Amino acid sequence: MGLKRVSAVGVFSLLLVWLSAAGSGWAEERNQTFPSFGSGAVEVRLYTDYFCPPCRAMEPGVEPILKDLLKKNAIRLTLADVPLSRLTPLFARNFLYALRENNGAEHALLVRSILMEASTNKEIATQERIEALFKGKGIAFVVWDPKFAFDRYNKLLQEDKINATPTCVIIKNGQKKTFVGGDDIINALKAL
Amino acid sequence: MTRDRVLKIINVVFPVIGIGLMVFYDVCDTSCSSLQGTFMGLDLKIIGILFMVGLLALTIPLASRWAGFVQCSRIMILSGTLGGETLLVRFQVVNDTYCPFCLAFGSCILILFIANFTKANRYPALGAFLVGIAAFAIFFEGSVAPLYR
Repeated sequence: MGLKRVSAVGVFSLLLVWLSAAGSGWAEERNQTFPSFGSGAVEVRLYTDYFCPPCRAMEPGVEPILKDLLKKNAIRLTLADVPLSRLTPLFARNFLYALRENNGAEHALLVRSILMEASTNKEIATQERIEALFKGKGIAFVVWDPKFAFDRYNKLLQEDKINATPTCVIIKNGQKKTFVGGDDIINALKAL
Repeated sequence: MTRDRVLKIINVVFPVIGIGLMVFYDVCDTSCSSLQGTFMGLDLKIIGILFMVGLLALTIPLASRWAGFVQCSRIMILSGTLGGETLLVRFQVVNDTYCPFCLAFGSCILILFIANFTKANRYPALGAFLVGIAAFAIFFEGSVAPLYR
């Protein structure tokens, strides 16, 4: 076999290895659970923290609007948990555990409201307590490593320069607008 | 109203406003800010409340027995805190993230300092100001962007 042929086989093999590695990464990414819903023209990123009282206060007002917008397929919604509090990563992790079983928008909003309510109970501060809560409410969950989701949260938090919750970023016709505080967010979503 | 009376009122009213600001900031209003800071591991909101309670304690009638000492202590505490506040404001400017409550709290300290400052205690005040800057440079830890680790 000539040197040229050996080189060609070598390059082809390397290409195959690279393609399969890239392909598996892509497949892995596709298999990751992330709280993004809908395929509307307007992108809505809602940043909240379970332990932030204004976020909890906003929830009952914002939930029906989001459901309605998703139903009309007017928006692409991303629900991003902001780790403002010590326990937020634990709650965010469990939110993702529940989504792994059912990644529907309605279910996500239900789990979110359960966790929001649970955040007011100081006794619910461990994995075991949250699991017991989920079992009590009939929420199925699967424990998995949500590093990929947390990395995506971090990217969004940095991109949108989030420094307060609740914050809603609305991207419409290429224009990005940021709203902070429950009232402003509800008004902005109603206007969509 | 005499100058002393006005000063006494200022020394009571502004610490009360400062405590109110920190309590209000702690329970949040329309949003929760990610701008957080600690001094020697303690939340700055708690430090702020304790500091204002300390200033209020200096206004109780019993403290007037040691009027000179109390006045000197007050101006030194205020100068030291003003030094710390300088770094806190710098932190907000550098990170382009502003906390209205913290700035209002800093304004209370500035007003208290201006009201209590006299030429007689300029050197202790300057010393305390520099100590305040140094202490915050060493022991202050702030965070702006919340991220998952």
